[in-house]
Amino acid sequence: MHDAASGVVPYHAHQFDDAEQQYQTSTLGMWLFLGQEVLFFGAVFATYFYYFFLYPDAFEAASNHLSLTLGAFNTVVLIGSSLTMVFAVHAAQHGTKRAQMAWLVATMILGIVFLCVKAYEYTHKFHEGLVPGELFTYHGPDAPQHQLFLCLYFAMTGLHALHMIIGIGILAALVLLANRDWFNAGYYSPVEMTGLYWHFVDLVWIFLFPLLYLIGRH
Amino acid sequence: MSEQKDSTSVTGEQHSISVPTYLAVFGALMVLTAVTVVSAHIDLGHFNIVVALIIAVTKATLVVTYFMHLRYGTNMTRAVLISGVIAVFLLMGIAIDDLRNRHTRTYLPFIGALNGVRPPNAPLPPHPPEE
Repeated sequence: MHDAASGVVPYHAHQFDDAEQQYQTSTLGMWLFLGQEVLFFGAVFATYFYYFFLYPDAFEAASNHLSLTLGAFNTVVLIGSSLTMVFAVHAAQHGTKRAQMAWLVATMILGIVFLCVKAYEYTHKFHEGLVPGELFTYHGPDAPQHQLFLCLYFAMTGLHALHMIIGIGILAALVLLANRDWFNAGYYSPVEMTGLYWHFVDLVWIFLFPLLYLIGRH
Repeated sequence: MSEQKDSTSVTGEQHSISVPTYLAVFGALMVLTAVTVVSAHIDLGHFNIVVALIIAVTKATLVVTYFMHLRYGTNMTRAVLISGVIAVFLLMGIAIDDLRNRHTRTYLPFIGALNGVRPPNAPLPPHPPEE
């Protein structure tokens, strides 16, 4: 907002005409990155659907190895963290530095809560002998297919968790930068782009939750 | 991006969505999460996954439109997202069409032969079925 009243002069690098063009360029660049992330996760989802079509009954049965309560709790936590993230972006646009840092930290905390629940779930899988490979001890009906489902579970949630760990690291960097007054109403692209990344990670979970936790509940 | 902005164009306001809108979207996402959990307990056979996916796509659309500000994005950013989604649909569509025309079963390392058929020279599965 480069109105004279607020006294905020938007910063833009010399290769851009103005702050608006710079903003649109970062947005497009971020969406290009997210577009290839769609392909990256799309390949894993394609694998999931391939084997779901082969073994629908076994996959639905194997889905019940997972805890619906923990999965639903994590869904609420992650969507909540998306809300705090949009508030952080909103605070960068209109609010104070204090509000912006508070919302960023809130987003980090929710992300860490999500990862803690995930870690608890993983530990539980080790104890139950549901980790694919040498440690797999389930010998009920369709055991190989159950193992395949759990392979996909660990691959998909593992990649998702990796994205969250990276996201929390970026959020930590943003908190430090915000503390040094890097962002103002005229320049907040890093906060906005991190928001896009964080929402994308939320988006992946929105698909993972029903496909992994819900398909076998009926 | 290429469109000329007049000097009154404001970087901040243009992409800004009000706090009540964000809260409404969050509320809708929570409601849809509850709906998907409840609907999963209704027996629709293999159509449960279809219902779950329809709800997930609705939630994803809300997140992309409001949280990710695509509502105020350029057509270029929309084109990037849509082309990514189309590519994934092509991948899934062709892979699953291939599956329909296949009669052999797949062998996966560490998991062993699914449906008991192993290709020649393949190692034994690590966990031969007991009893």
